Parts: sequence; structure tokens; C-alpha cells
Amino acid sequence: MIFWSVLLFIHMLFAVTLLGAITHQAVSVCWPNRDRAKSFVGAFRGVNGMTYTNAIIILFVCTAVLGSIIYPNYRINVRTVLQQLHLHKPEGSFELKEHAVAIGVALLPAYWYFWRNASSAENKAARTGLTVMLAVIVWWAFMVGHVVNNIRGFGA
Amino acid sequence: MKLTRLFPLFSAAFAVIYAPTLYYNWALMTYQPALGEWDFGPVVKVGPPMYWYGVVATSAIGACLVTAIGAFLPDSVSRRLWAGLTWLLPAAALLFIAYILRPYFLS
Repeated sequence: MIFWSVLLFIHMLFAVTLLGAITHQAVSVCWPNRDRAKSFVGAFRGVNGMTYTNAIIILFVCTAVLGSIIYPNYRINVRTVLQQLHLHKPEGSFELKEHAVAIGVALLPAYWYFWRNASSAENKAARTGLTVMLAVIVWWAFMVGHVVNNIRGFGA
Repeated sequence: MKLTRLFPLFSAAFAVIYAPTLYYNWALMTYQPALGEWDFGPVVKVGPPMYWYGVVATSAIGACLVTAIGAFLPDSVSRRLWAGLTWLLPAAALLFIAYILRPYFLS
């Protein structure tokens, strides 16, 4: 039990780091700020999104792999409880999360490809679309994971 | 053709294959978490079966095949085709998956 709780905790730490990185990049690509204003929001928008790419790929893969290792434990010990308690919305949200993350991992090669030459204006729309989509997937996965963890997660 | 040029095709193909694979349950294998066993294809035994690994495997193999076929397309064609579809097709696949899962949210 302690082993799975520790693994879940590490999974969460990776997810938090990934959430911060992908949010930074998504904001910088959707709402760029070349002047790097002195305000917090201006500095947040003014980061160089390209420098985040490899870190986001590594974090995404690590978080997904850890999640897939924990997943059988969820299936036996958590999902059955959700079904017994008729908590269909959290259960369905988690189902959507697992599929979204699988598609998200598969998007990483394209994401890397379009961010490789981010200094050029070519493929900016694809780069923006992919980054926003990955950000939405990460936010959804994080929030659902957090809710399900609150229902029956760490230490349960 | 450089291998990296095929990356967007792989990503889009994976998502497009994933949605029907999930809907029709074309899982390549099933994990039985209660038994700790793997089975070939979608199999129900004791306890809840896990098709997710199998659905991912089927989609990955399918996407590799599509990508291999795409390698024969001329550079000029692939360059024009994939850019917008790379995120539009996965977004459509996710919407379809959300539609499949709607009973969870309507009950």
C-alpha cells in the first residue's frame, strides 16, 4: 500500500511540474509578449516557449508512464468503489482522462516537430493548436486526478 | 524524406484510429488486474478487464502502418496536408470519445 501511495505521490509531483510548464508555454504562444513587461502577467507571457518543449515531452511521458503503472491499482481499488457509490461522473471523467492522455502522448512527436523551428512563422497555427490541446489535456487530467484522489486516493 | 517529417502523420493517425478502436473494442490484448494476467484480444475473466493497454497498442500499430504508407507520399503533398489536421483530427477524436462516454455524465 505504501509503495502505491508513494508512486501516486511522485505521479502527482510530475503532473504539477508538467501543468506549470505547459501552461507557461500555452500562454506564451497564444498571448505573446515581446517586451517582457515588469508585471507578473507580462513576464509570464514573455517566456520563450521553445525552451519548454523538451522538458514538457519528458514530463508528459514520465507522468503518463507512472499513471499507467498505477492504473491497475485504480481499476481494482478505486473504480469499484466509485461504481458502488454510484459516482458516475468522476468515473466517466477518469475514463475520458485515460483516453485523452493516450492521445496526448501520441501528439508529442508532432508537437516536437512543430516546435523544432519555432522561430519561423511557418506552422504557427499548428504549433499553437497542438500546445493548447496538450494544455487542455493536462489540465483535465490533473483536475480529474485530483478529484478522484480526494474521493479515494493517497493512503486509502 | 526525413523521418521527422512523418511525426505529424503518426500523431493524427493514432488519434483517428484510437476512437473506433475504443468504440468497437479492437483491443490487441487485455490485462486482468485481479489475476495479473495478459490475454490476447478482448477477454473477460475474473474481475474487471483492462482494455486500455490493448487499445493503445492497436492504435500505435495502426498509426505506424499509416505512417509507413505516408512515407511514400511526395514531400510537397505531405507538407501541405498535415499541419492543420495534426490537432484538428485528434480534437475531433476526443469529442467522439466524450460522446461515447456520455452515459456516465447523463446518469
